[in-house]
Amino acid sequence: MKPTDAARARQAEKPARRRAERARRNASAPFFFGKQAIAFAAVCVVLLVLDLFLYIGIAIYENTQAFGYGSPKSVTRAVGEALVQESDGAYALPADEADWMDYEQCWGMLLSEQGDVLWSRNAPDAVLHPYELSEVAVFSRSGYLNDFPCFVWKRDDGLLVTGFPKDSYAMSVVSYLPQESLGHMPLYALLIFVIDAAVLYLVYMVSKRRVAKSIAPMIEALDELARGKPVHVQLKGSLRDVGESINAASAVMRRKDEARRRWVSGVSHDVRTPLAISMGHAERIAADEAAGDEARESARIIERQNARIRDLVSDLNIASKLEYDMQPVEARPARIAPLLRSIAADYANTYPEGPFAIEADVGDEARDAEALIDERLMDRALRNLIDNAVRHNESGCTVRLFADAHDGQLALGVADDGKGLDEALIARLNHEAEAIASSAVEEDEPAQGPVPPPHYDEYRAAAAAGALRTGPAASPCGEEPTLAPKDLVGLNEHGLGLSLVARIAAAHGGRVGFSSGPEGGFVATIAIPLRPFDTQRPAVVA
Amino acid sequence: MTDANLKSRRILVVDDEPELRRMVASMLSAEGFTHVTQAGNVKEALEAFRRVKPELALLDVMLPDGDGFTLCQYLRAFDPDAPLPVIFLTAKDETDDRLSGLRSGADDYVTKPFSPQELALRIAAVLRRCYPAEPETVELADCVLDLGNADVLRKDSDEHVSLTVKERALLEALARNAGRIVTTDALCEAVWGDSFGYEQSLMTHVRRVREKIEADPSHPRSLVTAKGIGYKLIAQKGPRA
Repeated sequence: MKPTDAARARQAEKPARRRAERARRNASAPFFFGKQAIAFAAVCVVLLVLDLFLYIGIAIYENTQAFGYGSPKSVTRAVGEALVQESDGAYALPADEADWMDYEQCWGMLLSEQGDVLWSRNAPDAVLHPYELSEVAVFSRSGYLNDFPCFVWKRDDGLLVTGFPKDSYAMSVVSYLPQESLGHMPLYALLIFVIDAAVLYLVYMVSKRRVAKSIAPMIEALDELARGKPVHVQLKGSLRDVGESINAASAVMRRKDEARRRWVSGVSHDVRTPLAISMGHAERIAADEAAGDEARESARIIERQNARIRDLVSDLNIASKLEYDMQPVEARPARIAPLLRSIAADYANTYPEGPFAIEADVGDEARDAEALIDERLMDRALRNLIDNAVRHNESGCTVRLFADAHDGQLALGVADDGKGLDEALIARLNHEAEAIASSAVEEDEPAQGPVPPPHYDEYRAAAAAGALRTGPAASPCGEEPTLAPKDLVGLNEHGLGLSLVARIAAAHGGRVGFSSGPEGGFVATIAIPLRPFDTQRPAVVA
Repeated sequence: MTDANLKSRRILVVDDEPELRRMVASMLSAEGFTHVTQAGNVKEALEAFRRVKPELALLDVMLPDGDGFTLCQYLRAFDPDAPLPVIFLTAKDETDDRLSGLRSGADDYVTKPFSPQELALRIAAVLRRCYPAEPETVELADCVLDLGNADVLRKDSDEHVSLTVKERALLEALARNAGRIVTTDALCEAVWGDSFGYEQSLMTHVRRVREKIEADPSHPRSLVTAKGIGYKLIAQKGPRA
């Protein structure tokens, strides 16, 4: 695939990836909510059973209250049973029952079959009169006699009526139900249960939706956090504390990243001065004709190694900045051709007598093409590619820096005609560069955000899809992918350099691809989006 | 200006690391610079400045008792009419530093670790730029260039050919970096003050210059092309050894 196609495909794949992610989440939703619904139904049944038991329990309790010892019914019954007609025809109540009546503040009277008062105790005058049959029927039915709650007890010799203080009891009219209605009772119970369940379900759904809505920002924030990006959420209500914890976690992460970046930058700063001293002395000995050949050769080796340390320190610093900095890329619109030529001139001046021939090849389309680039980073990327070519072809080769523009893409890079690499290794480099690029795809603004390190999940997913097995050497860590950061697996065997090139390309919203040259050698191409040609600038002819 | 002139300029090296200071100083001596003074902090630097009146200062950005940028502004304020040329030495390579350094008026900027040879070249370049030289003559394979008079003395015919203003500017930019490739962009910048859109014009001028300075313009020996990059002037004897 041409790098430009790759970049376009990557752009297209961004929303597709998001959609897939959302679909995956939604797909697991029915299962989750199915389980929820079953649990809900179970809760309803349990509630019903519980209600039933409660109802029965309450009924028994109330019954005991109403008819047990101390209830008006029991007083009435006790009096009714204890009241005896003595031989003289007079009625007598034993002392216990009499005391009880007093204690309950109740009065009593015994009515004959004809409605005459045969006996009474504590009864107010207003009730002491003969009763018609109809009157008896009314008060025994309504339960009130002259506003006194009253109870009756049937005796052989008449009807015992007891009255209790006004307002002490509320009498309910015992109604009647048709037999048919009783038969419908279970159906009614079911109906009530179904309606109750429906209402509960509605309440549950509404509250679930509300919860889902209120925790959505939280889940999003956690996702971002998992990707190593800083977040700030503002949750309302009871979730506010959770939101604040997430913000605190993000702040801690950010502080740690910052500390790491400072640490790396501090170390690389501190290494530079001793390195400068070492380089200075090595260069002096190498140039000193009075020194022996062997010493001068050693000095040249020290010089070269010092230069490697210098580049490594620089790479490390940039890698750490790309990884941990909030704004690692300071992209400005710039022409790529002058940058390319000045780097080429630098290297050509470094090797005036060979063995490396440095060329620059800027295509017509790319001559005035501008792109949004961070020149310092792009400079580093191109130099790393040249260093890579130089390091792997000690006996010398031609190194060609090229830039071309087509289809809104700027393709720039380095091609050499040296030893080249075998296809399996190239496939592996491409795969790892791809992983770095796609971990940057998830950023909204690839040129703004930090480039997170490749994640294990992605690595696993790639392994599962067989993407890692594109060549004999393409699965660098056997069947089980390693937890180690990818940098340490493949690209890094070629120095931090190539891995950094991949990150810099990703930070510019592009990617790097590796291939063999048409006549051997190694070609690295960085493809980044082109900035539309600025017509404001005057084109000068002759 | 001759080399001897250039190398007798007084140079002040300010860095808090004595080893580095000594290395730079001995390297400069080895390169032929005769007046090199060292200072380890701002205080020493100010004393040395009053004592030796340096003509160029190499300043470390971070000093124990202050920073190089402030020191730079201070030193330059002594003589606003002829501000002291300053090259910064720094262990930082952040863009901010570069901007802040150049804004405070630095003439160049070298990031540690540096190659001493590179540093010597930069010092020479800054000195040449800041202390305009006597008209220079550069001996090429087929002619002698007199840049001061915009004149070419051809060896084959002993004839004098004069240079246009732009041709002279072009050759001057190349002669200043004799033996090194200069990019087309840098040459356009030197001749027209802008690097955008002058590439065709540059090629035309190079062709005309070759007709004046080369015995066989189609096989140039002095003004050679670096494919795709720029041009290089190969001097037999010139402003640079």
